[in-house]
Amino acid sequence: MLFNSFEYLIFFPLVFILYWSIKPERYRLQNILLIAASYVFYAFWDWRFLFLLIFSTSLDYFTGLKIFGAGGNKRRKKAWLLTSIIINLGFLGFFKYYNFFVESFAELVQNFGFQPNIWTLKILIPVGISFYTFHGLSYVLDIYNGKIEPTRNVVDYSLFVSFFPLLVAGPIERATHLLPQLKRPRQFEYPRAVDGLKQMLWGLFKKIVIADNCAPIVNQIFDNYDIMPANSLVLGAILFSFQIYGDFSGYSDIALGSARLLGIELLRNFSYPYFSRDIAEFWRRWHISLTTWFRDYIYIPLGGSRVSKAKVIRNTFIIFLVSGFWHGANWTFIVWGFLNAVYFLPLLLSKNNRKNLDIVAQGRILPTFREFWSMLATFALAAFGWIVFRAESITHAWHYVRKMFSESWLSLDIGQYEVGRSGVLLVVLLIIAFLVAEWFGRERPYALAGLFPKHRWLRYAVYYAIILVILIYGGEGQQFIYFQF
Amino acid sequence: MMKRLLYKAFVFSIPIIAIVLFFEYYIRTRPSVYRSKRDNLIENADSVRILIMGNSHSTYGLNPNLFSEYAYNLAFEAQSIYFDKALIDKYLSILPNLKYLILEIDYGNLCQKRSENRDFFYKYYFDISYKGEHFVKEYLLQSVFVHSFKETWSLYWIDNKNGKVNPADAKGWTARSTHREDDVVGYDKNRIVAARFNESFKSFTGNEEELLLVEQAIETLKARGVNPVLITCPIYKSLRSLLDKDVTQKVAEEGRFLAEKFDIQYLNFFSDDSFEAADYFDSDHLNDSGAAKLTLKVDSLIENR
Repeated sequence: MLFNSFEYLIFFPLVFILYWSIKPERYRLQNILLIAASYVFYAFWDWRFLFLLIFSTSLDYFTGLKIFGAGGNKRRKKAWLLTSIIINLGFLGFFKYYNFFVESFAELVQNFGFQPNIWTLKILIPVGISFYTFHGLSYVLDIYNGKIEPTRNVVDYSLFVSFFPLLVAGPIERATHLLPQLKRPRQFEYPRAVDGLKQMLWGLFKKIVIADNCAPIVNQIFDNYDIMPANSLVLGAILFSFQIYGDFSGYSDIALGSARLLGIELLRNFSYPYFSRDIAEFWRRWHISLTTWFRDYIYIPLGGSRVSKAKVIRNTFIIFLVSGFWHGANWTFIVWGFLNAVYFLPLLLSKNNRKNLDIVAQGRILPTFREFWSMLATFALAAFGWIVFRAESITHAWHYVRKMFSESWLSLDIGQYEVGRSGVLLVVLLIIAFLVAEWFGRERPYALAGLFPKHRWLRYAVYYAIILVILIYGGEGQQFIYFQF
Repeated sequence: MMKRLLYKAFVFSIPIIAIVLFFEYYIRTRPSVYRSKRDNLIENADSVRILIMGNSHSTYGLNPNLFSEYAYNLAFEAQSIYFDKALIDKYLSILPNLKYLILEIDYGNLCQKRSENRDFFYKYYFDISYKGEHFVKEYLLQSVFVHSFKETWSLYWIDNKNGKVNPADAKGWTARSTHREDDVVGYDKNRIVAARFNESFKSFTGNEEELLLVEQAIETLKARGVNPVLITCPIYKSLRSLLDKDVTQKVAEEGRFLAEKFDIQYLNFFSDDSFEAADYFDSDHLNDSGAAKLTLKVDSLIENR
């Protein structure tokens, strides 16, 4: 079920009304309702994969108890942890990476003159597998590291893994953050609920207006890069940057808004990443739940940045390469990860990676000249990385980039578009309006939060305007990009 | 507190619901090509001797007013073979004098299973649903969420400017008189269009369901004493040269195969270069002058008159 679908328009209010019809002190019953709703939500894609979700839930619930039960017996603890990790990553590897490894191996041995008889499978990737696997892993790792005690209530744990707003594309929650909320009564609070609705509205705008309108132009440019002028290829990279941001952060906003309406707070996933002044700041603001997951469970256990320079370099590359690989079984994602490691490393080695921890131009309307150029340069680096991320293959990305830099960007030929040049202009104008809104909202959790607190009618006018823009300028419905990961 | 939120959300939604309902009503009552073609066919059912079916190539490529006998165009944009067959089954019994049925087969309809977002229109206007699928969602919200609010909105303003124009004439003809030079001859544009088509060809295996449906339609027509005529419309060379040749050749082979198997006519104009650039609306569709040319050719070639 898509958040921007008619089904969700019926499903969510129904769940909301039923949920709050149950008294807060009977929160266990509310949890059961949410699990049932989450399974229905998931079954809308493919009910068969519900079994995998239930298996993954049972596995981590059980191993969590076993790890904790092992007490001081380190070997037993480790054995149960490894069991959980191997099975979780085994499923993830099979569904997501099996063909990639087989094909890559075949290509490798072909280079040595062998003709391997490869056996690939037509594997359907279960939606959200990367997300719920990481939920489960964070839970058992936290128990192993003594950060939390396992929950004995299977309902609470099942809901932690399958809570529908975050089930298929995150944010990747932590047991330390979400589980306590599920174990206590939740009160309906009017202002919070209104806030949730506003965040959902903003998420829908990002997805339907920004991402879905960028998508057809981006697809056309990337599919026909060989006949498009260089300035169109630059446009393609810029528009894809906004497509992926609108798509994914829009999804996160709807997820956070939906959860807030149910009295549950989820982790923030985006914090205006395109207003970052360097790439380190960008990574603190982009897909925050995944970045912090890798930081806490891979980077820090490897020693983080408190080791020798060589190891810092190694750790940085590991975290970015794994992050790239997490996105999918394609060399493009790995190269994208590598590229970001290359961007990031100079900042880390020169100890400038934590230079920009505040909000840009805080308390001011406009940024300084220096801030502006820093943001522009960071955006350019990110957009360049997105080319590799979006390309079908490394060769595709290479040809795209080569063509982009082999011709003048100042040519008067701006390419032909199926949506027409006026269609492209409209999308650019919508993006500019979106950026302005985000800029003025950058000190708040999302652009619409706390908007015109003293001017009710102005606030309402903005809401109506956004709804009308969604209705009139909404792009063709597209699947959320991050569902494939 | 929850009731307060629900109440306020409802009050807030009233203007939005009102706007949506207004446009919903508007699109449902606006003259549509489906409604006018359906109503005109029923009204003139006794006169029809030639029925034209197919997708946009036939919709804009065969002018029923130029046939020497009473013809009617029941082709629609992106009409899949499934709906061709369903429409034949539905209306054959009310066409007592039908002698010929011109059925298009081409790289468009042989490579598509359904009419995608147009499927609903068949349910709404003809009570035909794709394989009996339910259309609860679409039936409830045709314009705003299926036809798309955006499209309805722009139609409303176009109508406001030009007045409501009936899109099809009494014989089901929808005229398209313009010639978009760049769309016809422009290499870049045609590369883009061809890439989209070639992508859709990936699902084409050259037989299966669509051909079976064509065969069933032919059998039904022959049993009723109607002569089926298969046709493939012309495509301008700028696009034709960029399409996957394996697929376009396979389509022609299928046409010849069906013609032989059922002893019927197959008129293949796919590579007919007598149609010049000026005869096209875009590289994929004829305009009025091209349609006149094609119609006269077809009319003269139909056998067993």
